[in-house]
Amino acid sequence: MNGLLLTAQSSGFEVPWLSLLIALPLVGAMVMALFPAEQRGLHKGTALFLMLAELGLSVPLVTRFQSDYRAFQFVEQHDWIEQWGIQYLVGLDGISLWLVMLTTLLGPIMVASSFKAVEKHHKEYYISLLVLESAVIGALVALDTFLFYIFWEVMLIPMFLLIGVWGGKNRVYATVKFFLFTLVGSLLMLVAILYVYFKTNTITADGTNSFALSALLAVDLTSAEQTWLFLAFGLAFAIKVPMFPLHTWLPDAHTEAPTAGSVVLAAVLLKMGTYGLVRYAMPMFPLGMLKMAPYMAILAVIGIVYGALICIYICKPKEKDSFFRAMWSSSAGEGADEDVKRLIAYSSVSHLGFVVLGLAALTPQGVEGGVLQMLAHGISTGGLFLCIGILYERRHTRQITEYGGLTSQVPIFAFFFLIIVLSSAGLPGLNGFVGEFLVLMGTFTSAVIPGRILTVVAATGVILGAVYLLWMFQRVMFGPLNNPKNRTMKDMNLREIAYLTPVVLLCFVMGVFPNLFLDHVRPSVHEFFRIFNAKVERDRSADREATARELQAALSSMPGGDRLVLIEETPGESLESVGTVVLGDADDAGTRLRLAVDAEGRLSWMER
Amino acid sequence: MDYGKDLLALTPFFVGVAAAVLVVLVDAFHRTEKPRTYVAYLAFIGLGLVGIAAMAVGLWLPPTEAFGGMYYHDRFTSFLTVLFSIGAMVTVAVSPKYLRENSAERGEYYALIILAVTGMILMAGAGDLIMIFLGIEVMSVSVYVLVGFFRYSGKAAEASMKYFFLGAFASAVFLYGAALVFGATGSTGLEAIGAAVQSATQDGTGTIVHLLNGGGQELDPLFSIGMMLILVGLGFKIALVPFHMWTPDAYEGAPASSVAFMATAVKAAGFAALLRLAFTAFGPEVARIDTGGWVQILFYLSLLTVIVGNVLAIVQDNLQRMLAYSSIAHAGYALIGLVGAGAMTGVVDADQTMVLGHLGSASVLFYLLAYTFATAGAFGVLAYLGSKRAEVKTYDDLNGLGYKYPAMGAFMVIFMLSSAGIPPTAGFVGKFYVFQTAVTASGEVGNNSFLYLVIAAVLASLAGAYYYLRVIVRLYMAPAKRETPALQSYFAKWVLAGCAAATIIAGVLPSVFMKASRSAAASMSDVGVSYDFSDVSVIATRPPRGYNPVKPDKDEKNQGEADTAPEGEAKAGGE
Repeated sequence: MNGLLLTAQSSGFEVPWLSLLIALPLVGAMVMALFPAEQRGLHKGTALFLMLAELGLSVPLVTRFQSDYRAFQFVEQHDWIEQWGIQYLVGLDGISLWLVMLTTLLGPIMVASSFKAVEKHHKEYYISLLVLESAVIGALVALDTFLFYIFWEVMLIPMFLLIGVWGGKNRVYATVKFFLFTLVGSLLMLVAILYVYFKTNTITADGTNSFALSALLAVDLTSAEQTWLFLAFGLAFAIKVPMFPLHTWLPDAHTEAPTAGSVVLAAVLLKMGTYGLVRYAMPMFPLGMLKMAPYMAILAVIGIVYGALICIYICKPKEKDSFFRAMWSSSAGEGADEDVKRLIAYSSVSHLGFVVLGLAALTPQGVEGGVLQMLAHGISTGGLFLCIGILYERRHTRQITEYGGLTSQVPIFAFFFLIIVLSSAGLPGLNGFVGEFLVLMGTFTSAVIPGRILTVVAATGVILGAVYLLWMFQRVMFGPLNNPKNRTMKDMNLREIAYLTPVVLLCFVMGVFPNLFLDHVRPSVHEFFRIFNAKVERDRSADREATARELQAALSSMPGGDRLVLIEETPGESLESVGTVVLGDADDAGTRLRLAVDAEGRLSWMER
Repeated sequence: MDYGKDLLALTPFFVGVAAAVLVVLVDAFHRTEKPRTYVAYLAFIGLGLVGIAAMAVGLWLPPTEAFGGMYYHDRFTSFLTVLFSIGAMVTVAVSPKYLRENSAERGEYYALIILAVTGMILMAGAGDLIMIFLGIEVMSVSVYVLVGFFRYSGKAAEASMKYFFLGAFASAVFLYGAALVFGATGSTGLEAIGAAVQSATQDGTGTIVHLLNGGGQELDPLFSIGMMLILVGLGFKIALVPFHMWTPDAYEGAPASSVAFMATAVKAAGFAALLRLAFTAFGPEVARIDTGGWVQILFYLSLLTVIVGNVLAIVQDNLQRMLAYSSIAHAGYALIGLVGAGAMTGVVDADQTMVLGHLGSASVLFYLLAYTFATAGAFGVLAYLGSKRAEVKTYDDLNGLGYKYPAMGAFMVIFMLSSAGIPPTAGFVGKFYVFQTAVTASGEVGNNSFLYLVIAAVLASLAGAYYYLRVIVRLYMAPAKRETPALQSYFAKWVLAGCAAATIIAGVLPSVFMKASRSAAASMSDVGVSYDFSDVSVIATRPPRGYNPVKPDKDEKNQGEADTAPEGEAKAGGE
């Protein structure tokens, strides 16, 4: 299929690692469904064992991954619904590799953090977590758009239940909002997938249609079509990320979700949005992407600054009844403007703005930085939610004002919390720094967006990030221990130390040795740009050919136009300007015309 | 004349009639007040036999026009017969317990269900307008009684009365339309109508489709009005907006088990007649006409139905009313498949072998299958959970029931997700299939309005997701309110489990079901179709695609196959 997307073809028997990874939690969940409801220890043990087994099963992915190899690896391909050309097609590249690893690593951590926190319906809770794990991995490794869509939607159901059943006070509102927001985007994406699918019969060998990503990538689409399709895909992913004006579901969902739900939501589910942009929307519709990149970047930067400002507002000590407080209480519930979890939710909006900015910059550093930032954000924000979960288990409140001066009371917790806060704030040497730095570098040199201004504005986001995170830490951990309820607070127990240690270690490893991760990511990013540029080139030339035909027709209808011939053609620089052509009678120098195609694909030209 | 084969083709019908008679007889000899669950078992087995008989004749008996073209026997009829019996079997399975709770356990309930199924079989296989009418009446009279089966309930009486009056009115409208079509074409046979329509177009001197001077086509008013009245009559039966007004009232007042039957089998029967009429009698000529062709009429009806059904379902508090509006919306989705298929009637693919329109109508059949499992299941769960003192009528009655009845809760979640079209359920594949058909049509015909129809339907299904989610929210996320336990019934439980399993299986491995619906839809052209697709002057072929760089030459490929074939024969001969 035009060789746009390479998949490694293996000979002989290969262990189906990816299928095993998808199947293990799912089968485990089915077995758990048969367990008696009362035996809590059994449920916890089984869930933890399954998640650890899943983590162990994912280790070979890293050890067997060939980082110098740009094609997809661990590929498995089976026919699924032949009538529609739907395949079970999965594979892994450097971008999805680390996201899968992040998911499997967080699996046991999520289970371990829920032992105390979950108070009802234990069995169903762990079943939901396992199904979610399975669906997320499936969506990350799927290379068939139909398969991807199935996993993408299936992800919603366990998350819907996690928030709705085990969430906080306002959980039903939050979970329905989460579900419907995500569904709006995905349904339009489905229509867009169908639209491209019907064009795939022009490129497959036997004239049948296919949902495979490689087939969809090879379809020729006009510039106008690409813009619409990119918007349909982009909306689905932008809601999931979430990008600035579409982010309102996230604070509600995060605040109401149980700790493990928040962790998986922040660490993995939000990444599905940015991952979808890299994997599907951008390479499939490069012309649309080029057109939309400035808007995406601007929205991303607005998100960065807006999220940070809201966080600062939450940190700020407030007067009893100000106008803003009244507004917040009416929209998000009493005490929402003091809620630590809500603060972290908005910080997610800000941090994921960097990822989108890096992708929109369309430079190798930008995309690499975006991918790395996805991982870093997964680790540090996941860690932040775990820390807040630990506090919440002890005090059952998330209000900043309820805390203060905890350091002396819970020193071990303070140590872990501080490292995670600093990593989230982007301190050099910890994981948050590398991604943000690469993104800013990539943005600065970008040719498709107003890079310099955006870099400057986004960089203020980094500073504001340090401000609100350290302020939050100061108000929760430092100062006098005024609240008597905090005097009986217990420090972290072994279980909690056990699940936070890997998070903290990863903060250091990613910060000091980013190349450990980037070495795998880089070839895939190169491959991404190879596909992207090749497709831009091809689509533009197709556009140009169509324009030339149109021009020929228009010329021949002009009086004397049939004598005019094309003497010289110079391709245009920007997307809109198709180029300059020189036309004339065969003998004289002729007229110089500048050609342009407007958004609807109509041709216009002017003399110059 | 030898009617042996014709009678054989009607085996499912005879099995149904025999089962109904047997049920009534057995019930007549039951004199005590003891539960008469075994009557339900008998009806269940009888319906199962109807389904098996339908499968058997569908697979092994070649398609025929039985009784001089009055009854078409093909896989289409068989497929739908199986569908009817599935809907009826689920109903029968949940009924005994439900009827006993409401002190209305009488054997004739089951007999009426089976008789309604026999009427539906006639509708699906009808080759003549008169036959369709007979089928409608046999079915409807039984269903009127099923709706009002709780004799002492005022609401049931009201529902039955409303349904009866509007249903009778709709039948009359249908009949009037049939009379007009007869006047225009001189026949009531579907095949003859199709032939009249086609011959009229071919020589340009016909009376039904006039060729205009500008090159377009125009329908004869007599035929046009007749066709519209027929569509209106069937629109009542399948509850299309704006002919849907009776639905919420009838569904609310009727016993939940009866609604399980009404919402699935009756609707499927209406669609069966509609598909048969659309593809056999009205055909591609009338489909392609831009103003007043049946594709255009159904296009607007489906748009209205999907939007109105979904939006009105949001504001309902009563579950049966909500499911009534949702079933209206589902009819709209299925109709989108029919619209897409209709737009492609007569369009054959490049090999001149497949009729895309018929293949498209397979999406309607698949959708009906998915819908039957989910909707019959959902009403079945409502019937199961309802006990005498605490019926499940509103959302509030569902609060916390998911934990009290874990199995029923899980089934309900599956049925709701399927109705909302969330993977991995049959409902998702069904929606995907009908949307796919409409998008294909948009590409084949070069008309973007089908694409916009799909986008509108997709957005409407978002509203749908909201009210289906509300059910799940109530089941699992609200504190339990009531104490009254429902009666246990393993029979009902296992049948509902089967429905849930089928919903998941058809969602994960849809190939088998798709193959069945495709072969059913394709076999519609085996009987009763008078136009042939070899005549390229009448039938549009697929328009050439644009830029086509890699596709190999079809002829070359065929040539290769032709070359290798004789070799194989020679080998066989040699041995």
